[in-house]
Amino acid sequence: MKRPMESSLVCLLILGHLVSFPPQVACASPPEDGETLVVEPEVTEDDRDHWSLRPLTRPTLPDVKNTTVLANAIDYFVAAQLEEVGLEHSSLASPASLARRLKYDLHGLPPTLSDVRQLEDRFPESVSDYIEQLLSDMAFGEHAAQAWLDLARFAETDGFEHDKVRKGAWRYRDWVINAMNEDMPYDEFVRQQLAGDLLPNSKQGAVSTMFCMCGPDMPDINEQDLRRHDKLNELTGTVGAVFLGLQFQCAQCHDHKYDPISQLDFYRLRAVFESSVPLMKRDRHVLSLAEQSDPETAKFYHRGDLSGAGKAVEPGIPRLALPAEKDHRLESTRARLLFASWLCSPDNPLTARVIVNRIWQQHFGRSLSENPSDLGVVAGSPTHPQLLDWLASELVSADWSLKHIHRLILNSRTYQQAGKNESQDLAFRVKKDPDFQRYAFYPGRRLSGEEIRDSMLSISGLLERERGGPGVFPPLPPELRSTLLKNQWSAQKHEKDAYRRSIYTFARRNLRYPIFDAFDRPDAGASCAVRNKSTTATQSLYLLNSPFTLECAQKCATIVVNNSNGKIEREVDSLIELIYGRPADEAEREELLAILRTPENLAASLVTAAVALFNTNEFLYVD
Amino acid sequence: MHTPSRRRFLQYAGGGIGNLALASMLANEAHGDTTLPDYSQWYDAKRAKVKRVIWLFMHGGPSHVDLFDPKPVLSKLNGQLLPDSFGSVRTRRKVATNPLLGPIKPFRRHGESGLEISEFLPHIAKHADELCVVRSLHGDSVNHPQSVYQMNTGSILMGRPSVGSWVAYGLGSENQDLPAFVVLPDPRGGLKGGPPAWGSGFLPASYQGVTMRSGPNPILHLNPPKGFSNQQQLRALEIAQKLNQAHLAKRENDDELLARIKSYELAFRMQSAAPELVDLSQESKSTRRQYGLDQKHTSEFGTRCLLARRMIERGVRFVQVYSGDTNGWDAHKDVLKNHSEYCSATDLPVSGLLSDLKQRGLWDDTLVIWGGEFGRMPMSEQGKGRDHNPWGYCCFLTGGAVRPGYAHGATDEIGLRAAEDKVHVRNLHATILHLLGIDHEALSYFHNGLDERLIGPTDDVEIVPELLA
Repeated sequence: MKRPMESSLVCLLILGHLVSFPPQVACASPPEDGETLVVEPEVTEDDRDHWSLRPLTRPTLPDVKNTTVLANAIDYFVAAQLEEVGLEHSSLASPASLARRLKYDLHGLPPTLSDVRQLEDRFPESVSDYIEQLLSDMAFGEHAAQAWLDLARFAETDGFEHDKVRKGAWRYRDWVINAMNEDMPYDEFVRQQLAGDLLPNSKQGAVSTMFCMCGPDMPDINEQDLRRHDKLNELTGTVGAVFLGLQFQCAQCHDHKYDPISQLDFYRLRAVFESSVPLMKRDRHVLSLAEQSDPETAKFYHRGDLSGAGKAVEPGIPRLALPAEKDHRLESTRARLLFASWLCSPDNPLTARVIVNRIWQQHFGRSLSENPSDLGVVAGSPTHPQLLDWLASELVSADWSLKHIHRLILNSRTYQQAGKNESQDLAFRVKKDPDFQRYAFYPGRRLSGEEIRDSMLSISGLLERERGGPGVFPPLPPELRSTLLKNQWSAQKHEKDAYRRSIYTFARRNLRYPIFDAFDRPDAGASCAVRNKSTTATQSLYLLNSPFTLECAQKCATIVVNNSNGKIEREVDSLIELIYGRPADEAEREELLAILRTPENLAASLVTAAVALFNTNEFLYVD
Repeated sequence: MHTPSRRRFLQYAGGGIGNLALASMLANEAHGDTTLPDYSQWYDAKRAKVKRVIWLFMHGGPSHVDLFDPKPVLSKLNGQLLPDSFGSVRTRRKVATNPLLGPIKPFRRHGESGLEISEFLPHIAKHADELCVVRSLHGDSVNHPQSVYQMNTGSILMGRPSVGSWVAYGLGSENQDLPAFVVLPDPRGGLKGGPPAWGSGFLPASYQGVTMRSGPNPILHLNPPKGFSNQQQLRALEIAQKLNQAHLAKRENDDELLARIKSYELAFRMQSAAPELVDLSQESKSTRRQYGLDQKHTSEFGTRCLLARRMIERGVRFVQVYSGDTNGWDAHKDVLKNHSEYCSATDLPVSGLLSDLKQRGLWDDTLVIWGGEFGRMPMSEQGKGRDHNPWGYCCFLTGGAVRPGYAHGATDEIGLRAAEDKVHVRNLHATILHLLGIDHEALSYFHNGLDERLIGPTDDVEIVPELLA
């Protein structure tokens, strides 16, 4: 666990705040009780010298001794650090491992035997074709969108007491899926979510700017001005964390303890949005942004309290993200559009770094820096700072194409190298790279709850591939339904809808769907950049005993019997191929045959075997 | 339940790692970290006064001026308007200009301490000399969900870790077969604010409150579903664990994979431990009577109080028992009617629990908390009811570690606002942690660049030393 206070840099900063910063801007009238003036500390050159705030340049490739297996620039940066400890990349992963890895990373679905066969044919040249095929399939967006929805704290209800449904909230989910599939350039993706209503074709804006208002809300509160105040502060903090990778919300009550973000910076950023959130009315939702004809005055709020309202504040860009000589102020009448455009302008070093770091995390389970939503001073340096900058500059020069970055990563040897299961000299590699700082092998990961559910549906032939539309309500155990208010989870009218992909499951803020909840889906109370990875008995009980597992296992048994002309050996092979997406090996065949040969009824034994396989680590993890 | 088969399963699943290691692995999977947090950063066994907590949560907001905070002046002012000297009052339902409503039932002094308790609670009143009543508690919101969140997590916002999760994270588990933090919701309906009240927020899911029920299915998915026999389940487990061991061997004994193997062993043990836990057949007749299991109006809450005792006996750290469906103690219309119902359902069971803890030697190292998310207004609503009041209200603490027969602090003379020795919800939380031997300032979890804490970021949250025995 990190103790930020131990950093001498941090202590200096804090002391600086307390004693030695020259009074720069005396702003905002003192509160009525006559407290001291607000003094805004200057952003120093030292502050701007933090790695994430330096201007983005394109690093040259490092010298690497052995370049024979390197596929692209990514590998050069990784190889250089592997060579420091006498390592090279691990061998190429097998077609079966790559099929599984790629299918899950790009579609969130299990590979079939035919995926493996496709890769085996002309391997390894076949890999990049396979990657293209997966990237252009609509299932890509259905998978990639979830990571963004976690960041957007997306849910389709308010939370709090009544947890009311936000009609049409699902349209934002579909908008994100489509944006991912169309490879909407990231600068456009950002602009649409912050200022889509101000752009040509502004109709979309009513959907895309739902990003801003996605957080929890309490529409029945008495103090509607407090409700609006809380929403605006929450929105400001979220924008700071998601796009700039800085923990802005800390600065709503006081200057940020560690980063050079003043409380005024926070309220300048909030001022960007002030004119687009209306006065709120009891029990009425505000789902997206729209310019108000008679906007509220943006103000500074002492201690973040509504009652501490101070002087008016002009909209502005956070100063730390600008060179010293640039003016942080934004023209009030167009502030939101200007801010959204600035986010992806060459003046801003953060946005590109933040998003490539997030994409890296999608494929390696960890980002190049410690926390993808905090690139501030506490976060420390990334493991591969030059690689991060190279990817960021590559994103900008590829016109912000996210698929381009996915493609680069997926085609790299770093990504395609063997995992723990196939690395020849694993013990040596683990010893040389104990904290996995150098990518000495592919790390592997557990599937998410959404992936597990979708996989079980897909394998058992139940998965319904209809795309888009309002959220669906698969069955909920009565014990959980009773904890909800009436009619908050009605059974599905169309039976098939219970088998849609997990991304289409209705996202109720006060009750995550049980399997997602058990496997660490975030609660949509705040933006989530990294999911926890817990291992709990609750997960095991679900996979072992839920009616869902049994239903899928029964379907698998039926499929297997139909494929096997009554031959037990063939049934076992077929079951393993179905669930693992690879041919059976001798040991596991024997293990399963042993139970199938018992006097019990054969169909029941096949179900037992299918339940067993769904509960194995081979099914739950990707190598 | 499955003793012979169980032995058979463990033969396969053994793997040579003790339960202790398992607990740590399960608890700390976040960020791939498989070591326990360094408890010594905040925990000192020598300072710990209690080992576990039972929190009786009276959902909806019990009326302090009708239960534990006698207000003779309010009786005198019954029917009059709130004197101007009290200034403006923020309320949920605009009751500030409604006539005042005197205490519904008389208060009487009890025991040697002379602690005053209302006639609503004759059974709890017998324990007057053991109670430590906080009469100056206050919070920040007039709304149910925000106050439910604040009382449970310290923040009026959604999505922060609950006190129980913090305690489970801060102390670890005492029982390898059961969760460290268990919640027993009122079976008649959910609370206002929903399950996020016992969520683990940004802490790993392993610290989340596990909801349990009385009856044959105390935990969700504890037993095989219809159509899948115990025998089949055991077989499935055996095969899975055998394949898992082979899988693990090829992967340099990866800690996370090992932890998952162990999580199946824990799940399996829970299948016997949890039904044993909720099986009350071995409890004596007199115990059952003590908790009111023999009476219709008390048996439901009594059963859950008895379950709470059985849980802490078995090493569960933190148990929350909720009284009140979605409306619960929320007496907007008629305090007499509402509180008569809820007091009669809970008074005897709570009293039974306290006596039972004493008889079983659990008294000294258990902290029992009784209270809601806020109290109620001295002004009337709809004639005989009262609106929410977070500005001043009561809770009581009891058990061997708190000051007995004592009332701490005071509200103003009509019970509107906390006035003397004020105790904010944060101070209550700090004191609970302190009693458990946890330094409230040091207990933290690194998240998004910050050392997050139950008591929040500021360093001005003190414990309340007067509450300690």
